[in-house]
Amino acid sequence: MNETNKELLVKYITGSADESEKIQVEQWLDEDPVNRDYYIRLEQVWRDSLFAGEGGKAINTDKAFGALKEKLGLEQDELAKSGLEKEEEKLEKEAGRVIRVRWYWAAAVIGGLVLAGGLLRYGGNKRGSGEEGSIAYARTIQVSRGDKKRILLEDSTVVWLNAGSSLRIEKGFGAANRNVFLEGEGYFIVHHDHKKVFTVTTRDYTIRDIGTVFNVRTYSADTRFEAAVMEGEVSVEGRFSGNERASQIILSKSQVLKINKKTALSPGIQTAPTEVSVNESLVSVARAAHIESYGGWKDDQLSFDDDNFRDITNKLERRYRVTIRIEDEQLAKIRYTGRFSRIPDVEAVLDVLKETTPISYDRKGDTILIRGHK
Amino acid sequence: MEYSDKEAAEGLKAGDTVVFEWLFRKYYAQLCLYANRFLAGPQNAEEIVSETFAVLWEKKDRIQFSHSVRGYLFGTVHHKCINALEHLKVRNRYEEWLITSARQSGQDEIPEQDLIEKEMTRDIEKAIEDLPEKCRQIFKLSRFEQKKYHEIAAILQLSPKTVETQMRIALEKLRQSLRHLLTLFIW
Repeated sequence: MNETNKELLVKYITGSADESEKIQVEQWLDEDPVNRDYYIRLEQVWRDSLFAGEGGKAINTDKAFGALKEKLGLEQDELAKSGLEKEEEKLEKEAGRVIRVRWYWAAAVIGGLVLAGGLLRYGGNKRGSGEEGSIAYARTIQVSRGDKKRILLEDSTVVWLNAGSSLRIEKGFGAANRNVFLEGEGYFIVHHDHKKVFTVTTRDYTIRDIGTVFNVRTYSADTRFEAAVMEGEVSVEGRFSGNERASQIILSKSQVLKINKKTALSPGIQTAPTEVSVNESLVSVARAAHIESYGGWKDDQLSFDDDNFRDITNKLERRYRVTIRIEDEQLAKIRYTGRFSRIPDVEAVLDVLKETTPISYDRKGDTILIRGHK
Repeated sequence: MEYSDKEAAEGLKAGDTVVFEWLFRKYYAQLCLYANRFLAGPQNAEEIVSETFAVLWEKKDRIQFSHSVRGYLFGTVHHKCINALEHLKVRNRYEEWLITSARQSGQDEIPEQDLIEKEMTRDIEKAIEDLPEKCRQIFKLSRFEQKKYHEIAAILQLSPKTVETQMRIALEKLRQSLRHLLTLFIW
């Protein structure tokens, strides 16, 4: 992104660009989503700056409330009458009396409130934020089922969040740290910064990275934790396979780590954790031929990689916003590998699954019952 | 005096004007800042937010708050802003993308903690005052007096190229120093 482009962009934002410059800028914006993200940032800053105090159109809450009060007829005497009339029609006398008493109290308090508000405005104010340039408070972003979101973080990292996921951005993210907490699935394009490690904490494992592209799948309802690296290298830390001490696995490009938590269908039945080393079946690191397919969901691809049936139905539930009940415990043994591109409804997926797995299904509204069949 | 969300909802339903005023003073400014991200001018933002409060008061006995009063306020403002945008005759790219993202995703993200309006506007003011002198003068003429580049060049006796460069520097510096205030638009 060179300076000339940026200057034209600023001209465009501030309303000084002529027609040909506008066209140039719009072409440039269409070229690359990075340009678009930058534009949005600057546009936001431009808009926010309008509210700067002297010289700007400062927000005057007092004035605004005064105007609204008038409009709604919230002047003391009027409200006392109309409010009471309404209340007495609807409520018991008892409640009516409460409102009346409250109103007299309120009349006295409003005077105090306005005064307090004035004091706050001129008094000193403690900044709630941490370091300069970092977020003053934690934020959580949630994605509902059937949906997905793309987020640009303060450090220029891009995160895609899959259906039914949430990402908590910790306080101080930006200048103080680069810590987030993930429940669900996220595809991370981490902005390179060797001074600050980007850390994704999940329920069981922590992923650390400096500047890399990777996908993490860590839904609590699933039986598998999965991390796939598209570019660069990450480290995954935690207690693997029931080991007492935490250890670390380094994943490099095109490698995928799978940790299977349970092998049974119903949560009640669990195989006892056994001592297994990293290379055995519960925890596996493998090179994947099509590593990008692990992030395919952000392009509406549906992909199963030796997933067990519980995880498969979980994925379908989140993606298509349905409820799936598995009637036959035997189905827990089924595993499936395959990829689907942009299939709009869940029945189409199930029809394909039916061809190679012994299932049959029935749909009633938003609930699907799956049975085994001989 | 602080009201929990439950107390605020109950107070509203009961027609308690103290609660209503408390809600207004607590959320008005941040809702305006939020709305201003969608709409081009502060007046529009303030109108929409005032309307939202007016409706809140008028329908107070009928509203069911599915999340919280705060969620209702932000959600309503969001909805009204998108409507206003959709009725705009001329829209720039930013506004088009806002509409598209609003159609694709559900509720916009709402910060967990309340932005404190006084801090926010003070931060913005300070960031502007911290700009280098020439840069700041140019920025203020553009932002607060709506001057076009060639007008600024004439007023300050500078070349148009200088104005272009300084404006770029201004926005870049402001973006850096106000990074912590940018709630994200999610696409």
